[in-house]
Formats: sequence, structure tokens, C-alpha cells
Amino acid sequence: MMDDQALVSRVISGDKQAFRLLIKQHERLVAHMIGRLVDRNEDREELCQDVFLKVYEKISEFNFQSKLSTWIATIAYRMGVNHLRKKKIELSDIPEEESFTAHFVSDNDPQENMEDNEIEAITLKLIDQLPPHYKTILTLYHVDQMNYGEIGEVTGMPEGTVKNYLFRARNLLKEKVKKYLGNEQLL
Amino acid sequence: MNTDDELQKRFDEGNFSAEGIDAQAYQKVFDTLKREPEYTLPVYFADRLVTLIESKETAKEVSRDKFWLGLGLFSLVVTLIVAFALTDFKPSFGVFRFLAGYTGLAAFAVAFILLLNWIDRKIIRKAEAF
Repeated sequence: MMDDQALVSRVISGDKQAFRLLIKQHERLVAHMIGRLVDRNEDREELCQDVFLKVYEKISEFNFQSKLSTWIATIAYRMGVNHLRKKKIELSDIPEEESFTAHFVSDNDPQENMEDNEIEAITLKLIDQLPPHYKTILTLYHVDQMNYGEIGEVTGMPEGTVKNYLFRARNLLKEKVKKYLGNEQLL
Repeated sequence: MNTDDELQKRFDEGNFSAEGIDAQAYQKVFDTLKREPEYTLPVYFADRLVTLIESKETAKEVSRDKFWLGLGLFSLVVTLIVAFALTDFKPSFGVFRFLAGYTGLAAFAVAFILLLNWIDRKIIRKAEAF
């Protein structure tokens, strides 16, 4: 596998095959991030395309201060957030802890969901209901195996905030799942 | 009793041995979080994007060429006007007058050049493309 420096140099020199390779290496990361932030498939693909077009346009400005994947994820995150802003989708920076937790964990007809009897599917739905920043951090940490520092670089948040968001997101999900588990055990 | 903080740390380290409903719930959450999102890009995504970039670059080059051609023609006209004005040059077509007696030859020359151009476009360039 070609290292970042060699790959970037080849892309800058106009090697399209190298850019194709760069896309192949990072398309999963971009798809994960955009896929979590944006709902419609048409928008997702268009946005992923725009992300890589931006990468191609700005690659000569990449200064190797971070990993190439972190830099690409930063572009994807910014473009995803801008897309949500354009669509007037609320980004909702962490709301008041208690009210948000109460709202998120509240029982909105758990019986209906229990019929589904698929905790994993329910948990996935719950992840989708989280505010965009939470979803991004969860995905980068658990799916793309980024560390707190890298996630901080991508999102522009201090490491402490990243840790806090991660803890709270998992805690919220756990509280909600616990309710379903409780119901399951009662049945 | 395990606190949420402790439980999350243990699960982060891959230690799933905790008991209790909180631990069970975290187990489900951590398992699900590790799952890749369902959305994937089409297999031809990279190829399509590279083709798009190439066509954009070609379009950019064409418009740049057109710009320079336009600028060149404009400069030529300006230079001609300035040169005529400065040198008081009077164009004379006397040199072509002898052609008046050879209309057929002139017409043949024009037709022959047009034919060569047509052959070049329709046959030679097409053959080269294959």
C-alpha cells in the first residue's frame, strides 16, 4: 500500500490513477460520516462526490501535519454540517443535559418497538435519532477507530469535549436500551 | 456497583465480563456501535468521479484556449488598425488581379482545399481514433 506522502505527490502531479486509489482507500470513511449525517441516499452520494472534488481541489494545500484520512474526514464533516445547515436541519449542540436525556429516554410507545424484538435494530434507530455531532463522534470512534485527538481534529472540538460527547451518547443509548431490555425480560 | 464511567471504560478496553442490566445494555450498545453503517457508495463511484474530473478539466482547457484565441484575434485586429494608422498604409489587391483571368483555376483551388479538409476530418482522423 502506498504511503500518504507518495499518494498525495502523485495526485498533485495529475496522476488520475493515484486519485482513483485515494478515493478507494477513503470512500468508506466518507460514506460512514455522510451516511450518518444525511438521510436521503441521493443527497449522500452527491455530497460524497462533492467531498472528493474538494479533496482534489485542495490537495496541494495538505501539509502532512495530520493523517490524510483525518484531513479528508475534516472536509467530509464540514461539508456534512454545511449541508445540514443549508437544509435547516437542527444541529442541536448538546442541549440541556437533563431535559435532553429525559426527552431521549422517554417511553414513546416501547410496546410497539418491542414487537420488533430486535434490540440491535432499535439501537440503530436510536443512534439515528441522536444529534449530528454525537453520531459523527460515535461513528469515528467505534467504526473508523479514530482516537480522541483525531476526532477532535476532525470536528474542531477539544479532546475533553469529544470524550464527554462520547460518554453521554453511549450513556443515553444505554438508558434507552435498558428500558427495552427491561421490557424484554418482563415478557 | 459499576458506575457508567467504569463500565464504559471496561467495554472500551474489550472487557465484557460485567454483570447487571446496565452492563447488558452497554453490551448491546457497544456491539451495535461497531457495526458499519449500511450506506455504501456504488462500486463505480471512483471511476465516475475521475471521469467527471477529467471532463471538467477538458472543458476548462477548451474555454482557456478559446479565451486565448479570442484575445489573439482581438490583438491582431488592434495591431493591424494601429499599423495602418501609423504607416498610412493603403491596402492594394493588385497582386490578385491576374486571377481574374483564371476563375476556374481559383475555384478549383478552393474546392480542392475544402475536399482535403473534408477527407482529413471524415476519414483520416476517424481512422486514427481506432
